[in-house]
Amino acid sequence: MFDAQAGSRMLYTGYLYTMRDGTLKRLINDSFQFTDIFPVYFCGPSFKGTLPLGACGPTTTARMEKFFPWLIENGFRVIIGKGSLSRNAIDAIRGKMVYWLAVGGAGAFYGERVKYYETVAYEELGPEALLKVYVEDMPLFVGVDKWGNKVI
Amino acid sequence: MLDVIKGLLYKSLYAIRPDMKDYIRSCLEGEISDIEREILEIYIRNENVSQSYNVPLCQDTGLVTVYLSHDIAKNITVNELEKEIASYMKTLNMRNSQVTSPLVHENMGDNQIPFIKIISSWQDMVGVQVSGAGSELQGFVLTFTGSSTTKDIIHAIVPEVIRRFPKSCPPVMIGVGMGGTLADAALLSKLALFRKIGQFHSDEVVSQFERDLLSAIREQSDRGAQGIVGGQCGVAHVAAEYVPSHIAGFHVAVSFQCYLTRSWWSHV
Repeated sequence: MFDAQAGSRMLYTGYLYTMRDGTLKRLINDSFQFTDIFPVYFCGPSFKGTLPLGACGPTTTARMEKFFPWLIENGFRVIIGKGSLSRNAIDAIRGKMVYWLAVGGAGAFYGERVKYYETVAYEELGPEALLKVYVEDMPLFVGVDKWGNKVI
Repeated sequence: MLDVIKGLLYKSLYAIRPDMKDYIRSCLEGEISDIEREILEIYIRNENVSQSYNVPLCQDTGLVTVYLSHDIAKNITVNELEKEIASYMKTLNMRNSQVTSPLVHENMGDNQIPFIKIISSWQDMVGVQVSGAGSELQGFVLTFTGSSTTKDIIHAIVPEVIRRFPKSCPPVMIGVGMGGTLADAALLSKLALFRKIGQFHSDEVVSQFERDLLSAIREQSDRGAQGIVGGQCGVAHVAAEYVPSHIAGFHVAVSFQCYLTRSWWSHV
């Protein structure tokens, strides 16, 4: 899945970590150590309603660009979010991390793909807690591939 | 009146505005790429899932602003209305998206303070607007001198719009506010988002400005739904509002709204 070309479509089944601004700030401050590596989904779920996480579409990836070096250093190879990246960010991740697109604003649609989750850390951050989430058939597109080609 | 506001708030969170749905359908009938088609189809399916599971369309249920025309505002107590709306918001499965202040980033946990604004130019009308970060944080203001022309404004605004709108979950609606103080321009850019897609301003000069700005953005950007390169459906509409400005210059504020078009209004 690391080799898929920009523009490819996929249905992802497996684990993800959810992170966003507050999560990443805390992870770095705490020098958090991960025992497992999964794709990182930039997302802050609503946690309410009749789905496990409520609505949980992607958030704007460009806000997380400053955390990319830390994610790469910690072994993450796939990030998932919405929206375009700066040229500098694409250069920084080329060959090290790929960027998959989820459809922004489709929170309920993605919420239906979540089967279960557990809170790994920072429950007090609410929607910014670090979660490990199991998803089935989550539609995604390769936004930036490992060669730095992009469709976003 | 409270029931009308509640109804508008529910729709803002659980329904795509009919004019945007028409725009999406018209895009689907056109020649678009497979990726853009799938994105637009997911938008439509998202609404069905949202209503079936009682989960908002988007996890970012954002900040809620209620707009009241001055005549309606005369007959209400703002604090009471705030409480009633805040209480209703707790039933809508909204995310806890508010922190205590920009300087103290502490989640408020229980949500939600609705912002209430009284609009002197409206009559017998209420509006509800839900601002998620994806669109809200892309808004901007530019300042011009009194000798600036329409061409100057478009020339300055377009590159900023093109840089920003792909992050706002396109197709977007773009609201432009001009004149008055900085606060007036910003507010007008928000009020412009209540306009229907495809409806231009009744003032001929403003209408031409909207058309020229829309054309310039579409000609100079190749971004479509979700900001996909090579897309056809990035910008649904441009709506501008204005008030008189100082002889020395004026502000132009630009606000974006994502495909959810979470600006609903009603006459009361």
